[in-house]
Amino acid sequence: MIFAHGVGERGDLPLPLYLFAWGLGLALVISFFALGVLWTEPRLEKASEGKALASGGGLRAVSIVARTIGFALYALCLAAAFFGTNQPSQNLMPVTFYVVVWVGAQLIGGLIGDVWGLFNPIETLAKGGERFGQIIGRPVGHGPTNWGHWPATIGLLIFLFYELSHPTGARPRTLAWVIGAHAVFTLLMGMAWGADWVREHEPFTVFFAKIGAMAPLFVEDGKLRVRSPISGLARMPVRTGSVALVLTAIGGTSFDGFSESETGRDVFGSFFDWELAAWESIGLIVSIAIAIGLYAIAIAWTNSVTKIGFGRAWREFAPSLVPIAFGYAGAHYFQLFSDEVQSFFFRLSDPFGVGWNVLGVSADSRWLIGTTAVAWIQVGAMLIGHVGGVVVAHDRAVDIFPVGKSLQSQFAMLIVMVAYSSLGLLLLLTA
Amino acid sequence: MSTRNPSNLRAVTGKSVAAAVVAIALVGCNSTEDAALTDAEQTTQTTNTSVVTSAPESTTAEAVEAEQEAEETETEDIEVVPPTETFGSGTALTTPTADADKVVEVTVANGEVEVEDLRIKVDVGSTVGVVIESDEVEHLHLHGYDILVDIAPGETANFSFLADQAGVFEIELEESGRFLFEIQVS
Repeated sequence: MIFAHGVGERGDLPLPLYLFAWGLGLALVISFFALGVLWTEPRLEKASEGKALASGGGLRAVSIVARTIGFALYALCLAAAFFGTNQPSQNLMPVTFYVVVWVGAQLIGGLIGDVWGLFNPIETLAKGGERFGQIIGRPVGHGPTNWGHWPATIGLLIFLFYELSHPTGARPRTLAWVIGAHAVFTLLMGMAWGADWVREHEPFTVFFAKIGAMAPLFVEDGKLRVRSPISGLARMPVRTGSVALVLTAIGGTSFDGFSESETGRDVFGSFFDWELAAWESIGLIVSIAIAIGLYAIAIAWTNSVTKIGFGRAWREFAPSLVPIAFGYAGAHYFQLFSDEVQSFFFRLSDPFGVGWNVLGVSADSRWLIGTTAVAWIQVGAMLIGHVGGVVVAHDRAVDIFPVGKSLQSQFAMLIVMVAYSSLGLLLLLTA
Repeated sequence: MSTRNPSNLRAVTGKSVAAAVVAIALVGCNSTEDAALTDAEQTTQTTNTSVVTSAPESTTAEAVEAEQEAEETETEDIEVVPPTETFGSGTALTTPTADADKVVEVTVANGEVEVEDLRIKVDVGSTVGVVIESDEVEHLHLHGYDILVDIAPGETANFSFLADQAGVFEIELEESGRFLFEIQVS
């Protein structure tokens, strides 16, 4: 419903949506056939190597500073959530968690680089747990290796429940207990399986790394490198549950868009509290199921044309979903991000909501972005996301299928991409 | 006071209201409701006075006109309830809420919200007033414009603001997370 029941967002003015939908669909069809003619061999894999920008000491120093800032903000947020005011809009935690981290890490992560990986306070915490385990003489074990991204998917689903359905999901105390429990869990897992656990299973870290795989900047062997946008998806690690993870995020964003639309208000308007939460949870699950169903149709077609096996095709095309998740997030949350990042600085200046103004920020400096600018950014995000998805899927297809089959194998994928984009425009822009 | 040219008024009152809001915030949100309400009334009085005294300093014709209108309406609306104090980083108008171009009345009782429409449509530049009654202690939050109002059970809270930013803005209750309605400014 309301983005996290309290962080809030403002919708957009009505657009001539059908024009955008046609334009976007046309752009996808044209790029699909242009790719068929011009892009006859895989290129992304090679482009994903990139070239080195900086190395060694500088990067390490930046990393240490970022980790320190990340952990300090994490600790401050938890303190504010436990001991500050319980009003969502007056406490540092909700805006930081739902806007700066959840939206910011996706938008900046997809455009520039995996910024969450840079600041990641959860990994710092897990390292603390690992160190503590070693001090008390407990050897670090190894977690199961065959769980893939299922634990992260379940974690993401729990997060989406709190974000979109839980009756008091934006209340600082609610977040204090949930994120506090997550912190204790992280410490214990760090002790048991070591800090590597975070990169393998922690929902935010795993999901933001997926989004970051499409970004131009990345770190490899301690060196900062730059590559073409989206090329990194060619080497994105795909494991069991990866597709479900990304589709869960897409389904969550779609559901948020739907529940804020006038239709959504009519559907959910007569329920309150836990009854509302129950219906919204069902809506969330249905929304994720639709996202999964559409992808399954595309994959079933690909399999029927190429006979490579449904399961293999399911995993091979997983990277093409990442730009769509990014596009959805950009279209739906850019305005929220622009408006509420300013609230973040007000809250940072008074984390506990008791009337401080440590940073000396002035209410006069508040600026709301114009709705026309937002509309263009939204359409741009959808365009980049879906054309990016088509390019990545095509690149995979020419890599694994013979020349004649590759284009044909993607017909259903193209239709599904058009469906995702039209659905996205409908749900995310009308508000 | 003027509703014809609220932007000018807003500029004059902006600073003093901001100062008042900071002052109120310093008193603390967690003080008892009664004390907070008394503070609110006093602050509103002070704010109103500062508007009248600071207006003549401005040399624009509009300001003079606004001042004259302000005097006229003051005598007319002597019975009107003064606006409830607001928090948040946004600025509410100090004019009586009943004078707004569009006044929305909301009642919350036994978990049910009563409001004329879930989406209220207004023009850019108009003034919007909100009058709310709730049977529970609540905090109303207007997003985007970021205006917060405390609500005490059995009392009517009211505020108005200048809708000068286009968009759709949600109004909800912070304690229960309940969505009340949204305002489409276009």
